[in-house]
Amino acid sequence: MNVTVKTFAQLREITQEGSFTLTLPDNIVTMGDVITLLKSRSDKWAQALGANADSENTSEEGHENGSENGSKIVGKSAETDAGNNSSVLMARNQQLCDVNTHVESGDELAFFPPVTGG
Amino acid sequence: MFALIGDADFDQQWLYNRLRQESSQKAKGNVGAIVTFTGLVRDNNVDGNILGIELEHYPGMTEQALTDLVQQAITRFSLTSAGAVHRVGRLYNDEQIVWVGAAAPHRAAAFEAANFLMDMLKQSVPLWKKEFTRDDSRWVDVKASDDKAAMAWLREK
Repeated sequence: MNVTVKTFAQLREITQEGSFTLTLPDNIVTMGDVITLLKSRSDKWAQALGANADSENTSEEGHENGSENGSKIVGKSAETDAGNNSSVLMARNQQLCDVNTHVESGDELAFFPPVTGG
Repeated sequence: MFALIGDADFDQQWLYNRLRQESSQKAKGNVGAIVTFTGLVRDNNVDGNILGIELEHYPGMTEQALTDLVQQAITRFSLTSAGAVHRVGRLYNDEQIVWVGAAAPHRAAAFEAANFLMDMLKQSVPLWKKEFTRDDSRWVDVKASDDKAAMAWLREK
């Protein structure tokens, strides 16, 4: 199945891919799976999404260890990550979501840093 | 209610009038307070002087997130109406960047709602600031104090 992937701000600059169509193999079910797939796409993507982030290892408790060299993947309610500017937020069809969110064919998936409007 | 995203400057009087008119249509005679807030671009950051900022956003999601936020404020504080405006693109120092307005029967709700809108906007609406100087630019970091303010509202819910 195909999905559209979008990136913004620092993630767009690092990956140099602001919007593209991605074909997902059958074993890709969640946003976490998509992240694992994207990280293997290129070194730039691995850097953007963090060397230590994986789909099984995120929760509201947060994971502080080993994050010095990469971004951390967080869900929308990961409040222990407050103030950590290397976090990555994600959205499915323009709604904030987390690594456990299921993806479907035709989805628009987006990855971006914490927001700084106002 | 209204939630607007655009690159053009905005007119506070026009926004105030719209808010007042909407409120009066909904609760004529019972609108006792209108609070508005306007944010401007400061000419300095932690590292020194800047020329301005460039605002990136996520077209579509930004409008939806801002609309959802204004709707939340109306419900949470029993407002007669509310509105929010955020500019995107390149803005120079001293320019208007953001506006929120809240109308209610009493002032406490209107003040609280304006605070809520600003605190939550900094947490949930996909906008990113990049400061630029004459020959450099850098993305603005999330402020711990901004995160804390938004979390306080979420806990109170």
